[in-house]
Amino acid sequence: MKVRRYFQVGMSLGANGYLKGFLAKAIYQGAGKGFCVPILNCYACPSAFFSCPLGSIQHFMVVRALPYYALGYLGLIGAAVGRMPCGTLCPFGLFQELLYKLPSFKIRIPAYLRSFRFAVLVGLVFVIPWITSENWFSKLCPMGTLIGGLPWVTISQEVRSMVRDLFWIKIGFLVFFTASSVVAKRPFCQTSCPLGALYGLFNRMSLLRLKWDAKTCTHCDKCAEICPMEIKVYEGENTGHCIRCLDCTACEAISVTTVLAKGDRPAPAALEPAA
Amino acid sequence: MEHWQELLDLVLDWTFVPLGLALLLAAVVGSGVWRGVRWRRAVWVLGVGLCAGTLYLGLQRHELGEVLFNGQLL
Repeated sequence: MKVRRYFQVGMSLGANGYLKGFLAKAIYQGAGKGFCVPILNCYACPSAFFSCPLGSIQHFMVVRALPYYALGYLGLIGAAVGRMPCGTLCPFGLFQELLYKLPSFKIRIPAYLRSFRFAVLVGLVFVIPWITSENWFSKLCPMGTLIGGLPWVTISQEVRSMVRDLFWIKIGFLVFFTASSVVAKRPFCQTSCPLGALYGLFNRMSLLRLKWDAKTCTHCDKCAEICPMEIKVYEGENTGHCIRCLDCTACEAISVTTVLAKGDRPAPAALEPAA
Repeated sequence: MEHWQELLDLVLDWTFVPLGLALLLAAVVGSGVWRGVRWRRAVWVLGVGLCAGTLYLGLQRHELGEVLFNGQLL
């Protein structure tokens, strides 16, 4: 098993270890809820110990304030490791990766769909919550439905009685991303995750970086094959799309470096694969 | 219109400066608009400083505990 799997499983269980919440049918509201986890993890889950950073940002948009704490916290993580929490910690990323292991036909997600995540970030996390005073990304988030909405509807008669059309729309999104995860690699992360979009902005200048060696690379495209985000590393090793899972470092042409390392020059322009 | 006035007031608040600069730096470098950054280490140190300043402001404003579930999910 890959080392990052241990981190993914550990984070999934650690951030949602308040099992008493299922029995008591009440969410944990202790001091831990004041802290954000660096990943997508619904704070409404009965077993959640911590807050979701996107939920926190939306909360501040709803009350018409700027989320200094949440953005500063995410910015520092991004400046340190870029989008690495997506690749090594996120439970929803793990969920999608495990689904992709199921046997089926497989497809590649078109590159032009990748930019949609920025529209989700700006629209559903910042602008629409500001205007409508409702946290619309959280209302539609498939991760929230998976670990928050579904468990609540299952364990609580009171919550079941509150179910309206919006709940079925949420279920629709969850079903869509669950089904598409079987045939495509990390469809939610590639196209729609606003947290990944935010972290990705830091990839080009984060402390931890990938280094691609043009002399060693044979353009065999094994990197794209192994990459959970279908990246051809020779087209840009530090783009915002990379989730820093480091799986591609199995290739000797790709190594981990830091922004402080001497001789780490800006990457050359994208190259075409050899014929 | 009132909403945008509130946003403008917030943006004009001097405490927005580190957050605004951090977002601008992240957007300019991160989007790839500014490629081949020559002073990469200096940009990184500046970015960390701005994010740390933003986090410090958030902590000073007691934002840490203000992130509880507000029951809007259904």
